[in-house]
Amino acid sequence: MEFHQRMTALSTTTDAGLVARCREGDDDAWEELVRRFSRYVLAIAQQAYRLSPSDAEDVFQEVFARTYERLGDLRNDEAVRPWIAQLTRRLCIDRIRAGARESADPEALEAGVDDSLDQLDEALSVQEAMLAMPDNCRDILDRFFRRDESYAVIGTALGLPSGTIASRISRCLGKLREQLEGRERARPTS
Amino acid sequence: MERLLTRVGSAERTPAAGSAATGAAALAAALVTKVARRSRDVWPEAGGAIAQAAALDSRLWVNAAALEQSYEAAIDALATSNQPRIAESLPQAAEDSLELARIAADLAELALEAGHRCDQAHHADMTVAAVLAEAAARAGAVLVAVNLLSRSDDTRSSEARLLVARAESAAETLASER
Repeated sequence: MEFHQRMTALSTTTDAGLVARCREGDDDAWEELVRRFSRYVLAIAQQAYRLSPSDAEDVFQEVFARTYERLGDLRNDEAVRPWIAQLTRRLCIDRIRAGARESADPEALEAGVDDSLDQLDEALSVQEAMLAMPDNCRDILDRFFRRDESYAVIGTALGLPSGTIASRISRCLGKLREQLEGRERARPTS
Repeated sequence: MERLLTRVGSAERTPAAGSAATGAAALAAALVTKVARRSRDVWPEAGGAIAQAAALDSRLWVNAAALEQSYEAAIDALATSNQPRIAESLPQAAEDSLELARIAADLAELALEAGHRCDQAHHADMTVAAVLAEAAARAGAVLVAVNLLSRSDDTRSSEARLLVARAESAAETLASER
């Protein structure tokens, strides 16, 4: 299988499937694991813990180095996301304590972090659910909500009458909601 | 909205017509949201209309800020007869006005969709929403023409006319269904 095809196939693999492939020593799976969680790890470091870009980059390197070393310790492959989140939180706190805020109170460091993590988890869930959507729905939702395209522009691009775009977007949002609810029911705890 | 009314009625140069038209379109978005919320029992995809109304409302206010800025720049350029600045600022003001018409036309079509799917006790609300959105689209088209110094051959003028026609069609369809 060509590299591009392998990576495309991996991008739709579940978290648990990806972890299983990583355990087997699949280099492409490792690459996909880093790609899938890189923005999440950086967002926890920079948005939740307000680390500087250079500190966040150090945490990022360490998170994935430890993930590589300790993936065998993960008891439930489906729980890789909360596992990486917990690892990132610990390393962010270590980084803050090692810096100028050495005596920082752990409770103060964690204030507001749970809310930020909830928002990041939600964003990641929507991103994952979007990947599992049919191409036509993913395209129309991306065009309207992310690229701010008008109904007329979307209609022209997709060869559809602009008067039908609003109802199609609503239908696709309904499917996205079903995806998210299905994932919520199946979500493991760490 | 109260703040917008106060600001539009002030002696300041902005906000002016573009913001007033934005207010009309924003009311259309709010009406779609209200009716969709009150129609969840009969309209399973009402949440999709609410999300679209919120997205369009957000675009409206981002554009309103841009429109105020480009209008101010255009007035300054015209007041000083600064030709390079006139050549730069008027097309930008026309583009921002056209964006208002685009968003308003989409709101009119969203109101049409909502009018067909919602609890029919609220059909008249959606007709009014489409009429408000049509007014905003028409206002956007007027501002496009003004900023292009009435060059009706410009592609922006023809796009604005099409947008008004779409919004008008949505409003008229709903009005004819009473």
